[in-house]
Amino acid sequence: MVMRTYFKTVFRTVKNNMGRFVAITLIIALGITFITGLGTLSHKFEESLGSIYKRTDVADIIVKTESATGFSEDTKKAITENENISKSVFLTMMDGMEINEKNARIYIAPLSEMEISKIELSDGRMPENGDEILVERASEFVDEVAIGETMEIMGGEKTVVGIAGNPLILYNGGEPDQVNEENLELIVYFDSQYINLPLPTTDIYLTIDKSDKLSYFSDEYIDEVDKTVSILEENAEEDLHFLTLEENKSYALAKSYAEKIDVITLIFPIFFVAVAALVVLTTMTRLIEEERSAIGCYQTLGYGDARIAFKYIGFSLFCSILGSAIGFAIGVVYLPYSIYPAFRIMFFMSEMVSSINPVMGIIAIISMIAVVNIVTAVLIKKEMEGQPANLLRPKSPKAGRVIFLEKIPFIWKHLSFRYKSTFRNIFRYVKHLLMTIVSVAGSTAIIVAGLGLYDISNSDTLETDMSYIGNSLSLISFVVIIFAIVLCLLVIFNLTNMNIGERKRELATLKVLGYYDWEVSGYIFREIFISSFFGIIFGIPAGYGITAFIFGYMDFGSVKDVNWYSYLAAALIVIALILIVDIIMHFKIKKIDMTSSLKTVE
Amino acid sequence: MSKEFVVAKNVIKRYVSGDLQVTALNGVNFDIDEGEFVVILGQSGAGKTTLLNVMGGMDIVTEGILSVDGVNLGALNKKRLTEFRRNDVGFVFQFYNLMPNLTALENVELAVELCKDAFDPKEVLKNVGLENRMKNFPGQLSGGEQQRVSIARAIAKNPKILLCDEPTGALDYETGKTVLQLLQDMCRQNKKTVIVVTHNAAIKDMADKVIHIRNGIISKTEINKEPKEVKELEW
Repeated sequence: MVMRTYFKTVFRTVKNNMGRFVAITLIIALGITFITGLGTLSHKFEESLGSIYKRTDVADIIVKTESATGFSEDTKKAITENENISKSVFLTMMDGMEINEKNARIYIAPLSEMEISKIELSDGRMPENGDEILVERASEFVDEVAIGETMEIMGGEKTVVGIAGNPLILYNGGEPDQVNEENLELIVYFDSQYINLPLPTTDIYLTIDKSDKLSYFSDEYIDEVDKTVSILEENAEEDLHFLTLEENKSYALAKSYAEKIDVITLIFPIFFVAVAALVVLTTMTRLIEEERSAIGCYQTLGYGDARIAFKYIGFSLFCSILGSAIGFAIGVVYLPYSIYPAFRIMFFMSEMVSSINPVMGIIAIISMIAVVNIVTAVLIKKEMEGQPANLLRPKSPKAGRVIFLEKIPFIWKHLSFRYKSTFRNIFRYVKHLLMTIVSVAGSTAIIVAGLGLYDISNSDTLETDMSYIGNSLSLISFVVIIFAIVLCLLVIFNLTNMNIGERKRELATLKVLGYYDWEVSGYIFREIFISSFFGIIFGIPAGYGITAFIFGYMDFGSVKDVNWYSYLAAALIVIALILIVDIIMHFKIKKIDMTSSLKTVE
Repeated sequence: MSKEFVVAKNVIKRYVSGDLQVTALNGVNFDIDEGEFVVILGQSGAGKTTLLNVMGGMDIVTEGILSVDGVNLGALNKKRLTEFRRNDVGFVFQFYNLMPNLTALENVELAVELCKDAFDPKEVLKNVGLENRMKNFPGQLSGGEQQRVSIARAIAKNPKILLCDEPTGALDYETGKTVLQLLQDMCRQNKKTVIVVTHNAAIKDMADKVIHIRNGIISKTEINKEPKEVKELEW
């Protein structure tokens, strides 16, 4: 029964403050979506690549010999029968070849019966005789190759029957040859069972015994492989090269790329969630200020402090839990799907794995709920410390007061009457003004950083690998920018909505005096615009700082590469958002009922 | 010499909220002459504030004709109603409704800014006895002073009609009398039509005309041949 009445009062608070309830729930949801979704990205990326490694049972170790005659039978035996080795395959790889005047590599491998590091067909069929070949999809000129066409290789006409993918070549920005380190223009595969020549074995692919759960991108995996390599090295009698995935170009690029993603997906969300938390706190502060007299009224009625406090903590708890739940669901399910195509720009990847890594999301949710509700509790406690009689009286500084600008007659005299009132309102609550400036500055800064990320991802770079990373980052930056814009929109909406709510009576008075609708709206909008303008002014250098910080950590790009017009664009975007909110809110102001707003005393 | 200035003919005002329909005015008829001091008297819930709202262009009638200075308010669109409030009406509220962040003088200027033939705000404030309080904010003024600012704001617009909703409702006896005196002076000296809505029957003796409202209809209209001076009123 008591619980039911309690929920009723909470729901009533929600109902009376619907605009701000929706705004802060959405802001929390947005922040949590962002941090959960981005936080699971590098996991999704690594696990999706890892699933290809697992499916094809990629070679953990590649042993190469410098001998022109290939591995001796003794060496082969010694290596493959080592107790640490699980499976092995022998193949011949020839770099520095020329096919159709192109720099080419030829693999001769038991394609149809490869137990590990399986070559997978992406088109066509497997070769059925020695005159049929597969072409690697990572070949620079793969687009010019058609199934059924013939190529002259080693003095014979060979027919292309399929396009294949090698799990060791997942990066699609080019695979260097091992002779000149130039990108291979063509890579072809022969099936060794149809080649009746005594071929030297140049490469031995090995897999080690390892747990099914071991992630290919974990330190444990690398340690285990390195351990096996050192055992093999000790036992080797001739001069052999042992290569692990760490020396594989695709793997190494993926790893450094994942580290960059980690920086972006850690730093952006931290700022984002910080701004979101600030906005929620601003909103709760103002809600409690407005409810001052109600709080005093409850106190005079004899309600205990805890019961009164619960009413408002219930509100913030409801917002933060609901927002977190919505944000977590969208962040886990939807956001990674929208960014996944960015990874496919760089790597041959199959479907995204369904597993998630919600650690960041969960940390964010716990801290968001804790911070918001603890601070709300502190605010209420502070408000209740005074005597009820004081609470029932309106707060003293609410009466207008002279602001510092008035002491500068040079400026004050030249301000039009409307601006005098606007400036007094702006400086009426310094705390509100500061919160407005900081939250608008924060969301402006994130927009700047998002645009900055976009700029560097498009900046001209001579290195192909860097430009591939850049292209991929541009999609991520796009998501960051969209989220930052939505955050900024919600921030401005929330501020405007609160201002209107607090000033309903004043707005109604203006209406009664005969002010036209747009003049009444202007009374609020001028204020929002001016205080947001300060926010923009501070937000741009703050954005510069965040951008420099992120680039520094990411070890990619420089803040100097950010175009000057990106800063201007960020400012214009925020101004446009203010105008959009103004248009929406104009209708709300139009609807304010003069008669009912004037009856009651505050 | 006097002409019909406000005319109400079978005025009906209904409020609909959801399935609930409330009839606040149920066929109201009266005439008010130009320059008259009128008191509309009724208990709370009788419909007097509704009547004031429709006369002031803050709300529109559901049925019937309500005209002020020959203009049928029911026929005006939203913009014209705003213009009517802007140029022709001065309001005085029970709770003053001053802008808290504007000084007394600025509050008057706020209204004057809109009108063509407005009075000088400083002059008007001097006339209501607030010569030395012009630079004070509402929070620094007493209730009576705030109500005087509110009256100054209404008068300064030089409106055709002054509408006052329980102007003494939030004031003590003496202060209430000062405010009423001010309204009476305004009516007599400037020949303005002043309409005061109240539940305080003692005020009716100062009026030229008393309109009694009950359950949304006019129950009685009295004409005072010799209205009393404010200082003679007792309540």
